[in-house]
Amino acid sequence: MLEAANIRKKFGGLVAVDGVDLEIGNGEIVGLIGPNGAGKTTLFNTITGVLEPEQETEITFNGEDIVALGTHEIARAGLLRTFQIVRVFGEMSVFENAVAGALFGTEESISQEEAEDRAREALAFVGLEDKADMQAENLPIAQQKQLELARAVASEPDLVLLDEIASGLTPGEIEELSDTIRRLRDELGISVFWIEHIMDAIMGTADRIIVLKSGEKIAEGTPEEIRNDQVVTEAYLGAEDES
Amino acid sequence: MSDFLPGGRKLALVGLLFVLAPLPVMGSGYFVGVLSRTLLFALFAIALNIVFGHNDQLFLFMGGLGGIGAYTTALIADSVGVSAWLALPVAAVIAGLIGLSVSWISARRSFTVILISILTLNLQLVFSEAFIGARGLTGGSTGFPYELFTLSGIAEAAGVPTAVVIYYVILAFFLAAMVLYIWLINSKYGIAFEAIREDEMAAESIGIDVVRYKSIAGFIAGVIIAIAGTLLAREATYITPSIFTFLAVDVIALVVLIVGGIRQTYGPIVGAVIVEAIEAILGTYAANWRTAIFGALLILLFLYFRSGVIVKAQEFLEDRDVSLGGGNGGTAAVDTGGDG
Ligand SMILES: Nc1ncnc2c1ncn2[C@@H]1O[C@H](COP(=O)(O)OP(=O)(O)O)[C@@H](O)[C@H]1O
Ligand SMILES: [Mg+2]
Repeated sequence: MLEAANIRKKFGGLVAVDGVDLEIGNGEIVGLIGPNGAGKTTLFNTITGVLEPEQETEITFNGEDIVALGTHEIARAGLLRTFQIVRVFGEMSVFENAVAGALFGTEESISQEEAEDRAREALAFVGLEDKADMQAENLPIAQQKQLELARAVASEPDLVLLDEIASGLTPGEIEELSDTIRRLRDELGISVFWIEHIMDAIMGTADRIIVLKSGEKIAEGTPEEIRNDQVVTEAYLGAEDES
Repeated sequence: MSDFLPGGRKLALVGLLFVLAPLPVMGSGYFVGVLSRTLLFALFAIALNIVFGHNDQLFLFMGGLGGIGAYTTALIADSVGVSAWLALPVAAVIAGLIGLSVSWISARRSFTVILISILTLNLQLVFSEAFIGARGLTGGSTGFPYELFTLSGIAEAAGVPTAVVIYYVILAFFLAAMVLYIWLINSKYGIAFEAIREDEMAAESIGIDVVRYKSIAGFIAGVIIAIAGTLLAREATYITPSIFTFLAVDVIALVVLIVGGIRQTYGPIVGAVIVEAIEAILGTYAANWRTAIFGALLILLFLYFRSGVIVKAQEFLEDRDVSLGGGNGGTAAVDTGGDG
């Protein structure tokens, strides 16, 4: 589904992402972890066309080369994302947010009625159907994050990239969210690429985990393998020493 | 009608009011002129509402684009020898393409609202210079009589003053622009505009082509502004560059939009009625201070009154538990948008 080779992104002299290869298959939930400043968000931004990667970067999605595409074209191709700092349309209602997701996120053009149906389904999927008429900015943060996910789901994507969607949530909310992410794959067939700081959430949900440090991939494996990986443990300890 | 056009009944009522408005003052060229100018500035403000209110692109070359519309219409009609009714759409599309280009460049380069306003203000100055300088085409600062659209013939046949016929032509364009606005804001375009205005990056991330929608807004605004400019010259029956300056058009249109209420469906017409009333009073008592007074008014409005009279009146009535009733056409998100 998503195949990338040698993803590189520099900010002036700083190499934020340094030659990362990755592959995300159909129906997979892949975690992306790493200390603060490792380049995780930058990696998402290069994949989704928010940032232009360096020349040598190759990224294909469903067989299509997406390196040169704009963010909106990548979204329409079925690759959606959420943001580390939540970005719902605050002045719109919850329902309008989801309708916007459904209306614009597909290559075919769909009718208003069809978009509204998809929006209702997406809100029900994350459990926000009761809040449909509320103004989005009045939702608590946890629900704004669910709405951001619903807005992506409403476009019926193939793959969603989640950027620290669990941060700031209570343990109960994280449990619920992890369950929603599993259902995303099991019920809707959507693959997930998920950056997360909260280890319990991602270790219990992901099929496979990629570890990034200083822009480089330092490990990849099942949650079990990653937990026991010497290099990863050191990377995290090192990062903690610095801070 | 309401199914086809949300709030269509309300628009029909407003339309009826303006159809009847000239009847008591038909004989007075002055009052008919005031009514015409009211609708013309409502028309400019509708364009500004679309491109600035809904798209954060502050076009400060409305005078210039209006002049492009008016001069181009006259030049095409004259040089090709066709009716101004055929020349006007061509001129409007030309102005639309100028608007589109400005929006396209600004969106591609992620210009802020400040940068767009500086860019367009510069273009305004260029256009103003060109209108004066291209003497051969525009008659320079002396201008030329502007009596296109064979309206005096119609007036004669109907036995009414030409100014009254001009008024009804303006009214027809105003109502058409209102229908277009209401349809636009309640369509997919309205949702895209709102998403872009709130958060461009989030809008892009869900598949909205920000550059495309901003360019469309720029095109539509350019078309409406060119039509308004052409009718402004026709209403004056004489065209000179002084009709199309920043002070004569842009400042007034901005005041109209802000007074009425940005992103309010009826903001432009409510604002235009208020501003034209003020104009009429100033014209009688303080004509020389007109520009200074409107300039000061604009500053005050931006500082203290950005939500406009419609929102203020609604708040006032809500405080007293009275409802105005009847939505005014926009989506909820649009209608509640007030202070920036
Ligand atoms: N737009 C930017 N301009 C300059 N430097 C940036 C930018 N975005 C991120 N960085 C830098 O790139 C590195 C990686 O950042 P980021 O991808 O946000 O890390 P993570 O998401 O893993 O915490 C950091 O050193 C950060 O300061
Ligand atoms: Mg990050």
